[in-house]
Amino acid sequence: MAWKFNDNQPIYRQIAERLTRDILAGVYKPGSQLPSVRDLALTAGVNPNTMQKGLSFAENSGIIFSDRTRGRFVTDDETVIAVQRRDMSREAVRRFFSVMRSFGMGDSEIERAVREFIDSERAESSKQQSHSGGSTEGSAATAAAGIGDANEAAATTAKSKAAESSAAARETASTGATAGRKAGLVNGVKEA
Amino acid sequence: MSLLECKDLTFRYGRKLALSNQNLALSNLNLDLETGQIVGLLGPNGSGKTTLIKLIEGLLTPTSGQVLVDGKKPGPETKAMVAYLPDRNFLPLYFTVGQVFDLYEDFFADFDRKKAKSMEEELGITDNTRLKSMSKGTLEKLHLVVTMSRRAKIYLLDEPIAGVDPAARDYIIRTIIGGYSPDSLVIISTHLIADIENVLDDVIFINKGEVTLHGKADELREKRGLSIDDQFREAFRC
Repeated sequence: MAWKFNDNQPIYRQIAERLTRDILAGVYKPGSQLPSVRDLALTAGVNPNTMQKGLSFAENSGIIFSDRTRGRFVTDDETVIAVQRRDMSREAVRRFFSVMRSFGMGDSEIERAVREFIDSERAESSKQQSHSGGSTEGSAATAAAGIGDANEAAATTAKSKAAESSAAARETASTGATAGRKAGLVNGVKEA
Repeated sequence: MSLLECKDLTFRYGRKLALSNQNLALSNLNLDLETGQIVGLLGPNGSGKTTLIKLIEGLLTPTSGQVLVDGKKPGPETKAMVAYLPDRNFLPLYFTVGQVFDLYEDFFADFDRKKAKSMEEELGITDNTRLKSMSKGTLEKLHLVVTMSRRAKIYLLDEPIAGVDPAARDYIIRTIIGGYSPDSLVIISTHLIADIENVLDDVIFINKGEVTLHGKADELREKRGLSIDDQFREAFRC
């Protein structure tokens, strides 16, 4: 399917951004050769001239480079890739804060929401691990396990969280995590 | 020298009454287009798009002014390098696909039959499929396939995606992108702009027989912060 673009802005810049994102995501491996301009244009559903311009624009950051005889390649310079990752993630964080603030949330509320999300994902995955360890039961077994085991799972989560760097635990405690059983458990485990 | 040049091109339908502005389809139109571009000729119905295309193809003669294809006036020599896709069906419906290919082979030395045939499978047709048994979408795709299978210098596509389902539109757009060559010029006349704007290098707005805008798609987007579709709606608001 063709790439989605915001037609209110120049396409060539969005092409460069999409290629960078694809490289960061591992769609094109470092050092690998990119498809031809024509093939990329077909994939993206854009004019080959626009794709050419987008590729040239992406070359500015160094994330791709052009070998005149053989075509275009992804850089294998990890520093360059790291810089792009940093720049893109900063932009994503900025946008995230913009959205969260538009919900009327303050900075510490936002921090708490981020923590909660990470914790809940970890609880989900370790719940599945503790139930399917060694067997092929998987998530069906987890669902059938019942409430009793949920406490066990929460305790496992609390243990694995305590095993995290103490800085993180201190941070969670200091943001006044009075909301939620999980936060209480973290404090409980820490004190223990 | 540009591949396509229009100089003060004027066309009036009907009898030439010098003082009458009736039926004035094109009025002092000036245009210069280079090779290696996909150009959108965008305008409302009745703005003069098809008239301009017919003048380039040589189906009409200018009332005044000039149209030059590769420096020459439209005639047999230019028709050999211009591939025209009309906005209506132009093939006999009792023909089979094979007979359509025969027709194109007879008329056009630059017709690549192998290329056209290679697209049959994608279209779900064979040489023996009769045109009247094909759906509108498939017939439209066939029109485009035979047109783009000619190795022409200028492709004139008059409303190639009108009245066609989204998947067929995607196919047609992919075929246009795939057919791109730095040695040819593709002119797409349409009013379905949102679907096609990502494929355009140049954008021409035409209204009441005159060019009201001509620029590069990305430059226009940057300048106005609007899609070409939005700029069109704004320019031609009723």
